[in-house]
Amino acid sequence: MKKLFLILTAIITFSSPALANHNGKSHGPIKTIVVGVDGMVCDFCARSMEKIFYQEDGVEGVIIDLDKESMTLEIDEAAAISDERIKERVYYAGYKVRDITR
Amino acid sequence: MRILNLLVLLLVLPITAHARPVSWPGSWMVMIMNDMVSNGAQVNYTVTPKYALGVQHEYFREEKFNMDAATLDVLLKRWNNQGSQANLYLKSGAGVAYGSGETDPAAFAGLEIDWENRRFFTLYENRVLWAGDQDKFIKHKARLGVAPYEGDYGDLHTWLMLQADYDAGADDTFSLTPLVRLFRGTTLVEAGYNLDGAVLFNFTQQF
Repeated sequence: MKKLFLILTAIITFSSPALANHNGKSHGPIKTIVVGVDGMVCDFCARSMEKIFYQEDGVEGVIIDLDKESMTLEIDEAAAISDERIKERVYYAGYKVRDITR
Repeated sequence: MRILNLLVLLLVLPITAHARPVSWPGSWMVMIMNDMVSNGAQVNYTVTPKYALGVQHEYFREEKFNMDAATLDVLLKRWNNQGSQANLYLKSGAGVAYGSGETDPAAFAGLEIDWENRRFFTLYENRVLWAGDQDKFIKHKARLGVAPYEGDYGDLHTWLMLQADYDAGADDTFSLTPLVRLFRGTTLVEAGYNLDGAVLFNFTQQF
């Protein structure tokens, strides 16, 4: 049973792709937006947010903090994303915006 | 070689794994499922935040029949609160059941309601299956879980859970299964040992 547990741990540790906070684009100056997200309590939720927001033009990074239940968006300074758009995208991912700090 | 054998064994062992059946739009999910009654696998595609379509195969060991079905999983309601989340799902499917030289139409449906924060997890689920002359049943499942620590995104998350199954029509109407859930990123693995002597192993991967 101990061996089984160790193998399961190894599978889950090494089978997941690297959880990167940045999408690999080179970018110029960026600004950050901190979004409080209600209901974001697990890795599946966090990955949903990443997948949805990396589809947005100008989003260079998505940094998830489950402890604070928040998501920091790194946005190309030349790009714009409105609060309404952020709320819409968070809702589309299945969650609810608590607050937005720019 | 023994490790390879174990890995192969893990992939075919009975699974009851169920992460949330509806994920982010455009995502795929592979679930291998097994409980005391059946072994199965499902692949589904989340179309919108509210529903996912898929295909499922299941083999019922005691009654010795197979079922192939198209599935529809619907997120009926989600409650997002600060620090917690709750969900109400409809899980359903329709297809054919075949065994002992006979083929029958088959359908199943059930409700799942869960609540979790980063420390505690609860779930109740039921399932009604009608498979013509092959079988018919109503099952109930409940889970309680506790996380011994709160990991952040990308950490290995560990849950200790206790699952109770009830099936009025089964030989063993009630069973308890302590299990460990390991969860990182988009991979979820569960392993446990049923008090009736069955090993439990669950696997879910999202893409």
